[in-house]
Amino acid sequence: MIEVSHLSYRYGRKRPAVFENVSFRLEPGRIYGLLGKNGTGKSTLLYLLSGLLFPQEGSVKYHGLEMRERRPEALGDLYLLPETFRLPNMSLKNYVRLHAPFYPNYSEQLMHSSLEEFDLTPDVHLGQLSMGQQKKAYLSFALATNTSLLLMDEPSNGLDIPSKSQFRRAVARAMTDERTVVISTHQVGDVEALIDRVMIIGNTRLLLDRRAEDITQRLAFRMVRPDETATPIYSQHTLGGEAGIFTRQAGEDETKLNLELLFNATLTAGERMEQVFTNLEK
Amino acid sequence: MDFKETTPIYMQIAQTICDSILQGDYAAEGRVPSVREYAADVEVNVNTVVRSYDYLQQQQILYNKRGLGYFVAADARERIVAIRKARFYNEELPAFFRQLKTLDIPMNDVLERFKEYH
Amino acid sequence: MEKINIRRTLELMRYDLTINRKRYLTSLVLVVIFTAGFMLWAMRFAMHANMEGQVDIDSRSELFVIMTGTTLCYTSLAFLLGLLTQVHDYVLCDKQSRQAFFMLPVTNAERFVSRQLTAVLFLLAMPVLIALARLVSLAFLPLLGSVNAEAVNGFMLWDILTNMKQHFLPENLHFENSGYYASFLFLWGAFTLGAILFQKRSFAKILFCVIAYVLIGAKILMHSLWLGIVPVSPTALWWAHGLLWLVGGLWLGYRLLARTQLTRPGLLKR
Repeated sequence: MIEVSHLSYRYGRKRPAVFENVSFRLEPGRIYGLLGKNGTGKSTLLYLLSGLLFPQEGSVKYHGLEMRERRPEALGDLYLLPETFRLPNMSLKNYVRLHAPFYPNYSEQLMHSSLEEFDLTPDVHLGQLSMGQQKKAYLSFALATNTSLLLMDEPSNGLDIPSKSQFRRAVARAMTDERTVVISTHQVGDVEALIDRVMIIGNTRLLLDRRAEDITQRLAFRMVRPDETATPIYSQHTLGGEAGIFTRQAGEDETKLNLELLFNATLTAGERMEQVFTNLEK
Repeated sequence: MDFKETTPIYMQIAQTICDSILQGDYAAEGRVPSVREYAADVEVNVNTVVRSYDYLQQQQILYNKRGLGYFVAADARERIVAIRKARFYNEELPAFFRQLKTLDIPMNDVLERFKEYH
Repeated sequence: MEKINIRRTLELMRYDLTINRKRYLTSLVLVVIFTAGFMLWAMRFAMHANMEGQVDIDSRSELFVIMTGTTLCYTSLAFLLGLLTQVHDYVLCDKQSRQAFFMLPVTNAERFVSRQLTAVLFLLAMPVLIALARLVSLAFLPLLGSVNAEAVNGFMLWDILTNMKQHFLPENLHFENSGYYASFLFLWGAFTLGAILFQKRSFAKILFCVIAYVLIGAKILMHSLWLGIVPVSPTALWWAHGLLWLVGGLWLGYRLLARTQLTRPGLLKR
């Protein structure tokens, strides 16, 4: 379990703050979707969580251990899949032989099932794979390390549509009650159904940190009807008409969570959104 | 699985499972896939499938045997048909009648076409 | 100081050597070629190819003496070796490499130790490389025409190998011979420093070059300065301050690696 408390971070004394006084927890068995506009610090947050950067204020604790100490016990139980990476020019088998010993929970079986999902054979050579296939091979390894925390930065970027499907299945299969997965992405459609916690960052803060279930219980995502009496909390033009977010009324059927709408709403009407949650908590 | 825009995913999954039961893909008293297996197959979060299964449990279409998994109730088929019939009579039929009235279509014409359909 | 797990350190070395296999091999080959070339040049042109001479410790011209012959040869070798392997550089040269390297679940101490162990491996390979270079130069010797006989003698294969062995014998400790390994380790330390402080490769090379020669010169001067003052044997003194430089350099390198690898976000930014 990861506990972030009162985290503040900036890249240099003269640079603007990326985070100010941010706190949250990451629970085991959950898949978190981390959303935010470009430059708001999604990757930075992943680096802070993995001990590659240290907060100026506050702490990032992994099972009570401070990540800034970068102990191998912690590092060996988390894995970061960066957005851009370069795999060495060797066979996958050799790659595994070199890297797996550093991860005590590495599972050969998980590697095989992930590779199978991605339509790759264990005897591939990394230098001969296309970019997309390399990503899939790398994803398989990341899943196979079997770490408690798996951080992925734009994992579905560069994957064609069938591969995105394979990605979802592979992640779903590798998921356990003890693992935490954080997926940072722009491609909300790729992960919408997969995540059960939504985190939205922006403006140095954590704007939203809610369970998907809670969101769909309190908010309704639907088209604004011409004869609509209720005022939407937020609405935007879409191809099919005006899409809006409304407070869900008692007895009203639950609607499907629309991540894109939610994201835009949080960024522009954040306070109203937050009020809906806090009002109902009282 | 392609998910529609308005209905929550867990409901859509529940409907799909009901369809499968009606089609005979899952036999009465037969086992349905575990929550994880199903989630992986349709690429959704496990929680979502848990909700679907819970919902179907409430409707007494599925039941849970601890340690063994989820099973189709003996009378699942009848229950599903009954639920869908109820929805048809309570929602779809009134909407249909409203249409008939708005478009000024006489019931006889409808009956004619129904006979042809059969 | 952090713990050092032997297994992890060895795994890290294996990782390093495997991933950088081609670079290491290329640099080894280039070192042989360079040394052979140097030998051929010395044999043909060098005036004061002082291969084994006793060094006049009190003389002010010792600097010049030191900088001749095999010292220059070895020092340049180390320089070239570090340059060509660019292993420290490689690991820190771009964001992806840095991320991959620093994400490995090992302690800072292990990271540092494994790199230095690799440097030691190279050090031990040097006699072999020089012997190979000697063979290569012998092959090309007929093409040179007139040669400096002293130089040829000095470069005799067996002499060089003998020199290597005798480097650490107490009775044979004078600058020229015994300084080689220390110089190499020094250069390596300076290279580590340069690569860490200046992530752009060109900068590291220049800085490293300057630091290396300054340090060697300083070391020599210091030795000669101390001799008159401190009442111990030259041998003991040499060992003492040689060790001090060595340990000090390595410790400094370790601290720098520990401190700068992460608290400088610039390491990840670029």
